[in-house]
Amino acid sequence: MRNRLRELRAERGWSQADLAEKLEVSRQSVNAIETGKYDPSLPLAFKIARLFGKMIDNVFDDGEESGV
Amino acid sequence: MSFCGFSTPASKRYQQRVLVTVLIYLVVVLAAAWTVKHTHVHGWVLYAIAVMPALPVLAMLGVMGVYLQEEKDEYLRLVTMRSLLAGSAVLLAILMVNDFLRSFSGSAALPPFTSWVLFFVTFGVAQAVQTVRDRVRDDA
Repeated sequence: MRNRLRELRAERGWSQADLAEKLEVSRQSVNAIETGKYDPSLPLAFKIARLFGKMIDNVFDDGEESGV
Repeated sequence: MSFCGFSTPASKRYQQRVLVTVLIYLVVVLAAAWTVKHTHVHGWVLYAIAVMPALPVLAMLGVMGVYLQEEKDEYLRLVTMRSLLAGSAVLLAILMVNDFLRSFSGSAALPPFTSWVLFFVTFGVAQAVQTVRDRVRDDA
């Protein structure tokens, strides 16, 4: 799943460590999500979206078109 | 020092508990070896002494289970579970192949302690490989 984590983080001038601290996860987790090696759970994905003030589908993109 | 680069509260508790179990293991295994070599124990006492060193190793597996329960970071939990899976897979594969060799070709059993040493070595290697792969650059 693609995501805009690195872009959103860069806009705010945060390091991976800063973001990890705000999300209460490890730097490894932030790095793994940013590089697409790991897709976060739904609760963590919501937490990330809330932190950036975005809807979840504005942060994460599964490449599928909405059927609605 | 951190558990393969992890520095969460749960991983720190894990390291402390592992250290305690390793120290207990060393004391127990040395005491058991000395007792068997220098005394003439037999029967159920000998069996009990023989089993004693296994208890801290079993406790170490329990410590891993506690870590998985306590670790709040879902990605680090996944890394640890992958490592446990790698260790278990290698252990089962080697034991199974050895069992068939013993059954059909009369091969010898694996030397004592091979299985759990292989498990822990594979666990450690898997953990290290994932840590190196996921290493975060300082400028990230």
